Amino acid sequence: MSEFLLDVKNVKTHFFTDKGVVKAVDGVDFKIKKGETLGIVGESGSGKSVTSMSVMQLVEEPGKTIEGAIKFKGEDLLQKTTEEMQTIRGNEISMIFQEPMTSLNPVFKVGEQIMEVLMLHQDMSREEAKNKAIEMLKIVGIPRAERVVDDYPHQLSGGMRQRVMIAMALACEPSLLIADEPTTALDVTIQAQILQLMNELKKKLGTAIMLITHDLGVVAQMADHVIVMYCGKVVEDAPVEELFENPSHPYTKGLMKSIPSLDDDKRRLDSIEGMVPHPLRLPKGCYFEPRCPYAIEKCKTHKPELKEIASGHKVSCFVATEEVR
Amino acid sequence: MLKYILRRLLQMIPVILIISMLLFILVQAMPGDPIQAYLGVNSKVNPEVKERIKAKLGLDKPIHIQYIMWLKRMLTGDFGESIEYKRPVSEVISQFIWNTFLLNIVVFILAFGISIPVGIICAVKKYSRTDNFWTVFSLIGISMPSFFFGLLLIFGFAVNLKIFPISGMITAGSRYTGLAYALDVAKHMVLPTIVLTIGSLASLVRYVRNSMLEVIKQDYIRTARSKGLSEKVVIYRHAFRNALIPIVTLIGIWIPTLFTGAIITERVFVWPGIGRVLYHGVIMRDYNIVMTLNMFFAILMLMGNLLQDIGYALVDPRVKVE
Amino acid sequence: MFKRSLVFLLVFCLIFTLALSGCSKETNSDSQGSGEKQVADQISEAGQQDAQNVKKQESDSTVPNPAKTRDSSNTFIVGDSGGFKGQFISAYNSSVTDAYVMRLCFSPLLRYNNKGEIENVVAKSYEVSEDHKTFTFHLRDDVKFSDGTPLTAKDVAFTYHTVADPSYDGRHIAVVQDIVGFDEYNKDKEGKIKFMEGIKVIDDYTISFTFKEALRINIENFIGQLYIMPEHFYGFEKGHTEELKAKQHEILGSGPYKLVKFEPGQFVEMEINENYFGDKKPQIPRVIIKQTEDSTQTEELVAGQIDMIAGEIDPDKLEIAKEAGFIDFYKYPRSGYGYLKFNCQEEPTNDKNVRKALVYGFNRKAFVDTFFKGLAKTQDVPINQVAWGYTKELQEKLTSYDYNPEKAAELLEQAGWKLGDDGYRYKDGKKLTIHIASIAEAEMWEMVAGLMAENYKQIGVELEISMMDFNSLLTKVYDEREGFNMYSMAVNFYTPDPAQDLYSNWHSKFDIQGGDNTARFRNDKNDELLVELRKEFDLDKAKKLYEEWALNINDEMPILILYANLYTDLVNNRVKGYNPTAIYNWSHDIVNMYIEE
Repeated sequence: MSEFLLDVKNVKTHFFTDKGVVKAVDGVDFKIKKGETLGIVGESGSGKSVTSMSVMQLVEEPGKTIEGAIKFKGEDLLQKTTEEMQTIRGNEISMIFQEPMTSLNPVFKVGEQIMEVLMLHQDMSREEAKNKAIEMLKIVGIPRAERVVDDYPHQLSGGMRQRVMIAMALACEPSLLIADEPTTALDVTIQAQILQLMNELKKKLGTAIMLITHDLGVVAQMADHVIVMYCGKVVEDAPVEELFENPSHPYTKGLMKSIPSLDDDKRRLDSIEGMVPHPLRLPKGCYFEPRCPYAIEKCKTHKPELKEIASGHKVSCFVATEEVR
Repeated sequence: MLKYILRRLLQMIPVILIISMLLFILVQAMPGDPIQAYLGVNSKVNPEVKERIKAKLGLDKPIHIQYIMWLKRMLTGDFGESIEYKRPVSEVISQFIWNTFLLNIVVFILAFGISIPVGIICAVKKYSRTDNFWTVFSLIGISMPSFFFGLLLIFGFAVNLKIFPISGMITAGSRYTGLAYALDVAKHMVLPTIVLTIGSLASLVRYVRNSMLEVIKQDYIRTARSKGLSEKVVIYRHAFRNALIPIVTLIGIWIPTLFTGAIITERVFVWPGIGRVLYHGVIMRDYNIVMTLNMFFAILMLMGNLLQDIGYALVDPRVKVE
Repeated sequence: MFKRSLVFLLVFCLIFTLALSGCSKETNSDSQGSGEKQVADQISEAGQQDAQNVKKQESDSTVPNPAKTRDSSNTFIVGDSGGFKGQFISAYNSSVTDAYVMRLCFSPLLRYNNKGEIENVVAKSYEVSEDHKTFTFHLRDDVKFSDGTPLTAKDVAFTYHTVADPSYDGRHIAVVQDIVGFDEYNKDKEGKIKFMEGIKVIDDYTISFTFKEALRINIENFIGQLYIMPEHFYGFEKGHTEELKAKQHEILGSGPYKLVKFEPGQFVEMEINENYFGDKKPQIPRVIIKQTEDSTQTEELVAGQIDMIAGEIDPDKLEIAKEAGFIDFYKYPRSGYGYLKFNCQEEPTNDKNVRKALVYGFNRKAFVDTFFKGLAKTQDVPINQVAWGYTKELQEKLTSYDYNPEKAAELLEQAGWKLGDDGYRYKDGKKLTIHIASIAEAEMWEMVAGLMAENYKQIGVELEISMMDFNSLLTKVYDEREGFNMYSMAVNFYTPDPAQDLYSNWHSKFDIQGGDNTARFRNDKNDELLVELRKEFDLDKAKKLYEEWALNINDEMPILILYANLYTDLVNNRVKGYNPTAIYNWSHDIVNMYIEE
């Protein structure tokens, strides 16, 4: 048994559209340890959501994971049949999504939706499942859980719904929770509550979390380890403190600079110049090169690869790796 | 809920009254004289005798008096007499309306019974051969005029292949009872049912398909899959239950149409339904028939609306009924 | 890829449907064309013959006949597309289909036979009084209703009183409106007057009717007009015809058949009445009249599901029946015609020369030949061809208004309508425009309108056509009586002595609101002749009067007769003994008909 709960190697998920092949995830590697929180950072379009869907094997047409290995507890998920995946989903790997408002089925009661997952995976009777559902609701901090269990999603606020999602995801005590931008759609104060809740539950249940976000603040608060994605590739991979202290990839540096800080007296926020390239018209060399203030000739023609520059800290950049050496 | 229904029913009353007034005015405004139409051409009846007959039927009185007389009668359940049939309108209608209802209810069951599973399959297997077949089928079904289609089926299956009877609802001169009677009617019902069902099927399948497609795109379907539910459960429980909402409301609209006759189809197959009665009534200015039938349909439509709203409330928990 | 399979699928569907519908038609278009022409030629010839002379075309009795395998071989099934209203009793009968049932199940006092002669039915004899106003009928003493009750004079009196009832709103009131005491009886709502003065029951088998005027045609009111209803079954309190209406579709009569089953909108089934009094007894055990639809009834005939279609006019359908090989054809001219009546009080058709010009100026024969393919002809006087007044001598004397645009132009010139620069005629600054009001009926009218517009343009006449539905047209011509120069309609006569029809259609006193003189024809000579025609009891003198009247109206031309059809009765050849004429159909002839296996 490897020490890693999840070991993703060179996963490529491409979308075969009428207009061309979109390489949403183009050779991504990362690992998650048991009970660890991995933050996946990137802008929209970086491929972070597709990565998580690839792990769950829920990539929709015309997308397909064409290469790589996703080892979960030592077994390659990409080799598993649909039925086998179905026993894993919701059971050993769960997922929560960005939009709590629309992620719950509006015509079923909230309790029903939690019970469903319990009766399916844990073979509980209705009564047992209902009791456990009420328990889960309490665990996620929903008051009057016995009443709420019979409510419909539209009767709850956004924050409450996200708690329900979490309850539903954790009901079967999965080893890995994938959280795709779980707080982006929530108010700032609620955001903080949800993140705190996730941390508590993680400690309590020992769940590993794959936390996808574009918000560095969330990463700082939640993650143990971070990978930064750009245009379907991992550009930097480091433990969280290391990343914040020594951001090495020009993209990461740019991200860090654009966080407003109370210490600065700057009037304008720094932003990264330029725009994310169109997925069908990617540059020949390094994808970030057109926007990179540090770019050299080589960057235009060659694609960099992840190289270790410090303990546990990898970067995919010709300039960054050269500097260190 | 009960209070809501009661309130809606009460609200219907002024609406029905206004409809009756408008209808009455429209019907009376049609140029034409029912008595002259009934007597026909060259009846040799003296003009003054014609006037006497008109007076007997109250057709010489001013319109508002006629309306009040009509309203009084309607409220006591007296729908008047048909000028043509010389029978109480209720009798004329009841002779034919159940035949129309029988045909329509079978069509209703078949149309929904087929279109729901087919629509779901087409949505799930979008652009597959099955889906494409039903797309073409829908186009043909919607564009094919029922008269042409009816005749086609008759010539194909009744005349050439001799499988089904050419016309009518039962075999002329037969004395069947019980099961034999039911089978005879069923045999006669096949071709007109096909015409009407295919006509409805076309748009229904499309409707169900679109409804399902809308739902399948939703986030909560993704959530359902991520919970490890089998695709069957995802589609037939999570998705379908939501797609059902617009379909249920459609049923509410269909209820009134159960009693309206498809005039053309009924005529081609000589199905003794209500369609011909209304059509003929309009042509001959048989006021009582036209008024009664139209009021009946108007009330059915209002009821259909109410059923639709109730249906919505029952099927969609987000809809509150106050 | 999808698009291609879509195309294949559509083409496949089209071919499939065409194949299925055309399956059995093996004849190629050539033979079909010549076959049709043959039928048409034969029929054309037939059309030349005397109206009374019905041409029968027998078919091969050895050809396989699907009706023979039908499991009801003792049944005669007639298909009719008219429609039942369920009004089988004489008082309320208003559809042709219901009339068939009525004639099978009830009996009148007198009727016309297939030689055009008056035949005794319930009455065994009758006399006319010296002043010619009273008709006394002596009834047979052996007539029974189907329940065994004898038919007596009180039943006859009862029948005639029903249509005079103050609450009666049916269409047969014309039969009694000229009897002495009718107005008093009809207006008496309280029921004080029990009987009409002019109807006297003398004894059980003798009854007399006295009319207000001494007219020959009064006898018509007893010839196939009212069929006798038994008082003990249909009796009702005076002023309460709703009691009678409630029994409209119940039958207790003295006819050769009685009712077994009535399925509204579908069929009527009848069987032999054992108590039938007639000298000739019915030979077909069961008669069924089945509701059919025009577009499929020929197929039902050819499949052996029905045995007869009466009055077919479509040459294509005749061809289908001919091809089947086991259908007999009975051809006879219609007792009626389709027409365009002129409005004689509206300019410019108030001028008889304009009217004549319009008849000369339209090629009626071309239309009739094209549309009816030989199954109709034209005529120039508004009378039915079976009328005994329409003699050969008269026909020779009549002016035939065959298409003659030069003559039409001449007449218009003479009438003061001069050709303008735009090709149209003008008089006193007004353009010669003809307004036609017609029913929006597809095929035929489009052709007429097209031909007419073309023909009339040639002679400088502008044509405007308004289309409306049947009812609106009736209101326009019966009530409004203005705003049109011509209107289209059709009419049927049921007697060889139509003096009363002619009177009510052409006498100036009926040019009033609601009156049948919708041509608004006012001509003194015509009025005189019509009055005399009704009165004259001497048949030879009456014939002379018919001739005078016809010649006068042939000169005045208040009506353009468009087509006089040739009807064909299509009968399965296992049915024999049938001899129809224009006013004597299968329901009259039923006792002579039989099924041969």
